[in-house]
Amino acid sequence: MLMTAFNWIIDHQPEFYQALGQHLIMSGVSLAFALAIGLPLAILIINRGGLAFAVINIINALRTIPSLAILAIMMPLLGIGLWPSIVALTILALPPILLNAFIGLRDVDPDAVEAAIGMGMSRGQVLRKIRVPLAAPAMFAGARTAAVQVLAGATLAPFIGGGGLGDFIAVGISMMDMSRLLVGAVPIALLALTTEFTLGLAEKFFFAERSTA
Amino acid sequence: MINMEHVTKRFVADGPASVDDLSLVVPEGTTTALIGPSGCGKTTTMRMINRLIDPSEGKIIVNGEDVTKVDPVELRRHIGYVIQQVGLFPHMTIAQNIAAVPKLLGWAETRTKKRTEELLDLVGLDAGEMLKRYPRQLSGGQRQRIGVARALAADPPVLLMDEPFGAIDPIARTRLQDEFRQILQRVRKTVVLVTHDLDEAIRLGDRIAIMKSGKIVQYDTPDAVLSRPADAFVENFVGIDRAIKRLSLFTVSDAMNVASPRSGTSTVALTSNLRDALALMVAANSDVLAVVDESGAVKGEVTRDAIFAV
Repeated sequence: MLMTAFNWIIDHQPEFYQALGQHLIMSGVSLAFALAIGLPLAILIINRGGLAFAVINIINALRTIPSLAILAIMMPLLGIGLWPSIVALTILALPPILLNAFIGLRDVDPDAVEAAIGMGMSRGQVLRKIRVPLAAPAMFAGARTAAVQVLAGATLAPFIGGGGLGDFIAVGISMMDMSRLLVGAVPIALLALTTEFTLGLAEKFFFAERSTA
Repeated sequence: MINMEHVTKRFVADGPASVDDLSLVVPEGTTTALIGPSGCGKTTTMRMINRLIDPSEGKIIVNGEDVTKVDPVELRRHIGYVIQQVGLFPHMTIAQNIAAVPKLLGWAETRTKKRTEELLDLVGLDAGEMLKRYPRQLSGGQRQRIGVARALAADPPVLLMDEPFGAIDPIARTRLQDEFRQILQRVRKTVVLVTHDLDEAIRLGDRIAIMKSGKIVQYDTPDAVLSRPADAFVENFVGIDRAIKRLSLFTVSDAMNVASPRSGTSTVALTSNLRDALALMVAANSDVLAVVDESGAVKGEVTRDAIFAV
């Protein structure tokens, strides 16, 4: 069955690459949006207790909605196609990015913060020079979780006409063609695993100096 | 100079005073140790000097300036600050850590670099080896030395230290305290040191302020605090061994006679303190010790009576 799937890919290369490209663009753009919204938002709310409470609760509520429901909600609101899928995936990626960044910023070594204030750093400087760099590993970990979630979540995009590798799965299911289903499923699984692995390595590489005993 | 006049701090309006109508003068270039049981207000008192806490009432003058009238961020850049947990920045190298305040003050890079090397030398660490390392790679004692170097980086006239050696093991602590006292003799800073360790206060303080319930009970030299406690609280606080503790304030050279002792008596170094000398006498079961200098040459003798008479 795997061979059949593989042969199908060889025979339909343009079709496969188009779906793969769509999948990656959809995921990449959503992740970029989520980072562009989530990181500044975390920094904005870190020194504002009331606002932080509200935002964190909304995000936590958002997190409980299943991915399929978020995609489904987009259809009556934004119609079908690539953009509604991107919006939905951005919403999916936002919670891990924002929560990780917020917790990372909040739980920075209090002694370092105390020393920084005591030596005469302003609030902004403490944030820029101490909190953000120290929270960078947490932020990165959030982005990594979000990336894997988005790649997996994008599989559901065909339900609202977003395209991507999920198309093959949808077609496979509707035609009861298991090999076609695998044309979508195997690359998605590989993508998610590779992303997790590569970003995990990158995390170790970037933040190595702090964990050396 | 630090001058606190009738300073009161209430954390809740109309609540109890954590610091209660406290007045304190720390003369230029001297060290004052604030000591007392937990909750006595010693840390609050210190933190009002660099306005990490704002006083409810009273005036605090640092180097002729009323601290409540200046920008607290600017003020803190000119007051060195050392805390027990050190609080080195884990994402910065040792060089970057020490350069933190000079950078805030906009020093030129060459000046900062020169100063950093100077400071590492002052705290007894090797610049070539240290500068590029990260805090995690250092021992506790090394980290605290870097903490002191960082606080001294911009050469502030005033230094605040909150239990600076509290997290270091006892043996390294004593050595670090002695080194720190020598550093202070060289740099001449006005220092306020918060501690709960009487030995540390005796070793480092030119004066000791003993606090209780937000007030200073006695503010005096270590010798005076130990020999003439102001009241029962201080007497109890300095402990039953205060007379022995007091001996550590003097060295053998303070009590030595130039008479030459009989050969065969145990020896004590000229630079040892009298507390150690007494301990040696007890160990040797003898009333007299021969005093020797660094080369081992006998310089005289020290007797039990001479120690007791100090």
